[in-house]
Amino acid sequence: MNTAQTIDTAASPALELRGAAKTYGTPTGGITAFSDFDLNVGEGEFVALVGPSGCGKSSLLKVIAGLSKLTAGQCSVAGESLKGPRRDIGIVFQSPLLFPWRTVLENVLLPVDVQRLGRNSQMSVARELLDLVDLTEFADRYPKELSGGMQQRVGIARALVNTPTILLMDEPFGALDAMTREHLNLQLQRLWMERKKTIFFITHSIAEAVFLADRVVVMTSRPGRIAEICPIDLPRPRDLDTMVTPEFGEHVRHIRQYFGGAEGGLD
Amino acid sequence: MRKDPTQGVTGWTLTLVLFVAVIGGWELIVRLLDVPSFLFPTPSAIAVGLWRGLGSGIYLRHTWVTLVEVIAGFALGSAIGFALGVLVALNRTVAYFLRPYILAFQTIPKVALVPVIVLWFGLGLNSKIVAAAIICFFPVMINTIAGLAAADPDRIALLRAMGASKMQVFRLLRLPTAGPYIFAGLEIAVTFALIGAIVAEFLGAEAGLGMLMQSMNFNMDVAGSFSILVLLSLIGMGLTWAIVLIRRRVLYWEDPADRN
Repeated sequence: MNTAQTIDTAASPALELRGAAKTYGTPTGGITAFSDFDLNVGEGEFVALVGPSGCGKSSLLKVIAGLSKLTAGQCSVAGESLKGPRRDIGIVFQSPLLFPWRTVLENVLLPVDVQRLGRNSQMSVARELLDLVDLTEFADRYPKELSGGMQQRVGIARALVNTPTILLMDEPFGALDAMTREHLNLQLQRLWMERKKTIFFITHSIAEAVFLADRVVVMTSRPGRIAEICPIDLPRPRDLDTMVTPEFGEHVRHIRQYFGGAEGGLD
Repeated sequence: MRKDPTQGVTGWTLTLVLFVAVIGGWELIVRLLDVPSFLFPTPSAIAVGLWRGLGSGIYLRHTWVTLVEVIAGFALGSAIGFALGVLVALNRTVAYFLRPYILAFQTIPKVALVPVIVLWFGLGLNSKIVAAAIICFFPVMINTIAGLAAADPDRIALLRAMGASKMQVFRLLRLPTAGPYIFAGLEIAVTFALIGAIVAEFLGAEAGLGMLMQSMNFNMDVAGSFSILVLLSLIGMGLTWAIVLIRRRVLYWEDPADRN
């Protein structure tokens, strides 16, 4: 699917950043996390952002989550200027951040409780999501009984339970082993294709970004700026064989040149 | 894996052997050295005193009085400690103005207040309840403050991003996180409450184990005094055990291995 054509020119983008910048004030002056950030994410689009540590990725995510304010520029969601946390945005952080006193199902229902949507009406949605992340039989277990990968899947189901239109993911699979990570990448792609969410995915794995995204935003550090936005035209659904195709390798190689190449990772 | 020596049949046997050795050694030394019983009683004399006191019903009556004082004082003190802890933890202004008083109060030996409390509240139950409450509220308050501050910032950010209010962050995250801290405070507080009630009874009471012990001391019935100490120790252990049981119910998600 060619996403460039599916972005409706008339409707406002799901997420829009214009000249966005964030500077943290310190007694000796300011530290710029990122600046001159211009990006449009279309509805239903999967955009990944790669960059080294310290390029302002997490600062950017906090802004979009409504937890901190830009020092310059604009951020708008669904055409509305962002004023604080929004209910149509779901977030998955690097660590699952489950609540140990809640069962798996109750953890998934956390946004429902916070936003007072009524557990009864949302119960079927929650169970359906547990089904989607293959955790149906763990609904009544407690988080400590789950592996790291399973906990992160609970985190994803939790982010989706109040049916947000945008999913923000901050290195969600960064703490997991390579096998689990590949498996979850496949599950996430399936979930995205079935649910048609807009996903903004932060990672420092170039391969992961290329595998998942319609477009990869490449950031360089200090201060964080966009170096290039690369469209990834690999056909969907992508599978593990996609990762060994020459086209895939070409995309990875192209992005890696921004980070001084040979060492493979970004850090 | 190495075997834990405190577990299993051998553990129980060793505990029993040690107990018999300590009690037997005590009995033997007191008898051999011919220590007068009004200075240091033998375990057998203490046991006889306990038996007599329990049999006549006197101990039970006074135990009941002391137990009521301790539990009421503990409930009152814990409630105040928890409420103040919540106020300090949630409200910066309150915390700012209350902190010097908390620090000042922290340095006072609370037992030194008990004579004044007896003067104010009289010889009846009230002074004992107030004394128990004043001595036991502090650990609950301090642990509540620490526990409510212990909530993980990332989880707070997660809740805020969902649109949670300050009250919801408190209810959904801070309070359950504080649970283990608060219960650790309650375990200390319940033995503190016992100290408060007994000291107040020493200083002037109409009934209670402390009063009974005091009158035995005046009569040089040291074996009797010791038998009441045994009773107090049993009460203290029973109350602590009750808190532990409640903790297991309330903090059901806790890993038993994480408790100490």
